[in-house]
Amino acid sequence: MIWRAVGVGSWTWSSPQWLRYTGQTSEDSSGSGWLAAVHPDDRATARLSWERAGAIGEFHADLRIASQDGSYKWFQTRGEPIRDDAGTIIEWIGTSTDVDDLRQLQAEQKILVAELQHRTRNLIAVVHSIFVQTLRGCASINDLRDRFEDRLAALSRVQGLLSTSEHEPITLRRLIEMELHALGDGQLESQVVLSGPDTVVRSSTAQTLALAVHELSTNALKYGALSNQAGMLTVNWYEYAKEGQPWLFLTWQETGLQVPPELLSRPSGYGKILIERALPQQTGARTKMQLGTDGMDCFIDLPLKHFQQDDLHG
Amino acid sequence: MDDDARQFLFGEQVLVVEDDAMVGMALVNCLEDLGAEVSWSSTVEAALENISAIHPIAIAIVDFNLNGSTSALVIDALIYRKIPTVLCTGYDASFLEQRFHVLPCVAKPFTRSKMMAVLHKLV
Repeated sequence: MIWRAVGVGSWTWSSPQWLRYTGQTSEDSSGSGWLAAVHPDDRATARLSWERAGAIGEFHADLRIASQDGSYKWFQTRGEPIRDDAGTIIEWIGTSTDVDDLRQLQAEQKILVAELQHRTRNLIAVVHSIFVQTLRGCASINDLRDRFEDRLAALSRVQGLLSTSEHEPITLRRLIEMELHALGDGQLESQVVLSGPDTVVRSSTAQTLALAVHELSTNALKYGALSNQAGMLTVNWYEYAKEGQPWLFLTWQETGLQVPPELLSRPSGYGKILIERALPQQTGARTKMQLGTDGMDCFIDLPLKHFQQDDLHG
Repeated sequence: MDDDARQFLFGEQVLVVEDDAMVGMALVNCLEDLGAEVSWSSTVEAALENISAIHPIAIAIVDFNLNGSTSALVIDALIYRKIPTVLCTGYDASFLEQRFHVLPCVAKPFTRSKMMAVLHKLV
């Protein structure tokens, strides 16, 4: 939209596009009549910009301008002076460009950047937490390195799932399969039975749940049912309603172990605390781990909707 | 674990209010290493329940942001009972309500030494 003006923002002409967009007539827009189409909150900006324009030799302002139907859009308005031979400004010619989409994208980008910063901070806190807890009860630096790298890899895998979770919801099955596949180099299929519906896990739960599954899997591989060919791991789950809310009940069951139970190591202190304390705190779940006659059993009773508030904090 | 005053919280009841599972876990571990008996809650309701159920609470460590709301109610209850309280916050502390400015505040992610220094002053 193009316009011409004299003095301090006194319009002498406006283009047909301006008249069409605002619904003003040429007479309406002339003089300072065009200000009527500017959002009341932006009129002071418009006047101030005109007052400065003479001094700096340029008019520049972002203004919301009303269309015929009364809705506002952001326009970037710029004007250039035309001077006579003596250098005196005799007229201004300017344009108003629709930058509404751009402004909206910028606003969305600001929100995304804030969210990203929040997530980054949170992730650093999680890595820090995993490190200091892995440090406890480690026998040597090598031991620390192995365990820490293992957990970091699991955390990284679940970040991968989370990064695409908007298009591809994270299902419990995918989460468990991913972990077992990564740890077992794809060699465990014959020893593992997964059965249950395509339960979708909320993203705020996925990270802690994935780390819990990692601890259970690591334990099964090192000491439990997956540590020899004869063992079997069965994970089954179902959804049910409790007090009108959807819940998930998961059973992790290891069988067929030939090792006497007293030789079985429970998951490390870290895994145990993660499953018995952290998971309930984060998700409102109830959990139980027990050493059965032929392996580890773990039960996780998990609300599928947040017990307090929803995914605000990822 | 080479602190001079190992287990200086031995047998003390410590209340942790933290909604992030991993951060809470690390904090609980650290406090248990110091000998404390830790009660951990992640919601305002659970924290208030713990405050009225546990006597005496030696120290409370409270995250200011809980699942998008604040723990102001919890902090007020702790101040009312004169329980030494440490605030944790992931953000700039300037937005905290004026009445909380007197409380020691630890920015997240906090280090073990920073948390120890604050706790030492309280015990």
